[in-house]
Amino acid sequence: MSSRDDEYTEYISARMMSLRRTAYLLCQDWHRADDLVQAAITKLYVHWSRARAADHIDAYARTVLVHEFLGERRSAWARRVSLDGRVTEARADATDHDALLDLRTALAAVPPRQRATLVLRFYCDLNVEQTAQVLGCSPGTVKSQTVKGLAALRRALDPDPGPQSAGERKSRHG
Amino acid sequence: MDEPQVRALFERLSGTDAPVSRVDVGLARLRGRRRLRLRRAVLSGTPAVAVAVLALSASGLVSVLPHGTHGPHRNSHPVSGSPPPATRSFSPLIPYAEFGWLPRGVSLLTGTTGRFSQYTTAGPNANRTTWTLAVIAEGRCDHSSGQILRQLRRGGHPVLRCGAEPGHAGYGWSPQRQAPSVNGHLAFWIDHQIAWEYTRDSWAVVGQSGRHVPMHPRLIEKVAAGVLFGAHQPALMFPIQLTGLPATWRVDSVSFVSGAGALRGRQFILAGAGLLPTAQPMVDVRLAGPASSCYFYPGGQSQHRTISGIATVVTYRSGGPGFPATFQVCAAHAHGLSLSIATYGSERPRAVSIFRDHLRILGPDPSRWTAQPLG
Repeated sequence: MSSRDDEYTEYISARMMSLRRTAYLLCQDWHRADDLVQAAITKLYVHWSRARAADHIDAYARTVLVHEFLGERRSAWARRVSLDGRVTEARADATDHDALLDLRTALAAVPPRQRATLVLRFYCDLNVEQTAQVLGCSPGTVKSQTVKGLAALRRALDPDPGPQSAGERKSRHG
Repeated sequence: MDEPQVRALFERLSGTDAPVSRVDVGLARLRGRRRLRLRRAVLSGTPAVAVAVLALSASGLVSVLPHGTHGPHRNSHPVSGSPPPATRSFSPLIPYAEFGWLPRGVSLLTGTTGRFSQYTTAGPNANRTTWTLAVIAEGRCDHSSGQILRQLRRGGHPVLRCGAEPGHAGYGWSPQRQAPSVNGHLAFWIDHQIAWEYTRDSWAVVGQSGRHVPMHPRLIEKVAAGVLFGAHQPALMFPIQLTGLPATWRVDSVSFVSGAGALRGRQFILAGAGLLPTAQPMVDVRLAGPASSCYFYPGGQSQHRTISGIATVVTYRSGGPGFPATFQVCAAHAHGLSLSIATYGSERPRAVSIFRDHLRILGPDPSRWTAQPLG
């Protein structure tokens, strides 16, 4: 194996868990997360020379991963479908599994770009400027996406999913 | 919901339930090299037919080469411990290690058992993982504890890499400083975790989960000292059984959950002849509830079908660079269970035939469950 390959393999091995967890938060499915990471690290291999020349390889890898996620979400086959259409507002069940499922469902209800913003800000601990760099947008957009993402998450986790109109919901959340 | 709550939510979601990684670094290198060759061919004016072949190859549509062994090499070193005996392979059906002691109010939550690594979580409730334990089989890590210690003393920054399964990336840890020994074995701090070579060429890492929790070193040392090795836990139990599958197929890894006095397998991956590491069938089985539902990724071919009297949705997703073709059969309500079977890398609807011809549903009653998911 070449030193380039050694270097690449060493880096990926050390960062694998972090990449998988970030991917999982983006798509809420470990299997899909592995597919995302697989695609991202393949791209990273192709661009490895550029990646290791970057100031922060981690930032470069994260950018590739997030772009892979957002690019994939734009394609038709990746849209998630609920078979019975009653997921996003489901109340937490007594069982452990269902409670976790509710959290995953709530996160899935946040639009992909807003979700990516939240994950970068609050899981990867990036500041507004760093997040803007990864997403390729302005800091102002990151701020507004953060606010909208938090609001969407709040709505999805609403403990009182009783029937109400969009207007009622909006006024209740200010 | 404020920022700390979002951070806690992310920690909770990302810290639980991780199955053994299916990511294949070797495959990424292979495909990456093909794409590089394709780019160079295009730039150098290689004839169109040759470029087309390279393009198919890079996309994975032309034969995928056999996976090499990407696992780390072994380093021999003096034996520093006695029992438990080193084992080169775990049984995915019986957890090899367990928390022998946990703080009051904390109990085992979930786990993932593989042949070469196992991972368990514990916490006060299912929504909050506060402790994790990873155990690696003999010969899967690239450093001995003595080597790690020597590197630290030289001011180095050692990385302990442990291969989970052949061809997969596995774990990478960065020991930071020496920790108090665990039952006489050299140990090292890794953030909120402690790592030690529990027996010859075999590592365990235990610690607090989450990056934003206050660290309690004494507690971590106590939990580490209490870890029990040697497959003394009861076998995992499964509410379904697959019968009549090819004799070479076996369970490769299992994700399980603790509850109601049993360790219930809720997701397992199969391996065997003809199944590439990136194309192993996956079976997901949960106890159905009123809110049970299926998730799937429609790939343009998704249809409702009744199979063996059970309402299902069969989805086909075509493959592409980085992901194989997929067939998935999902049943939100199947005699008290919620089921999903997915097969990868084949144009044949193998998931449908497994569901139709090989699935035996035992139901939600634990007294009917089996310790042998493959009959």
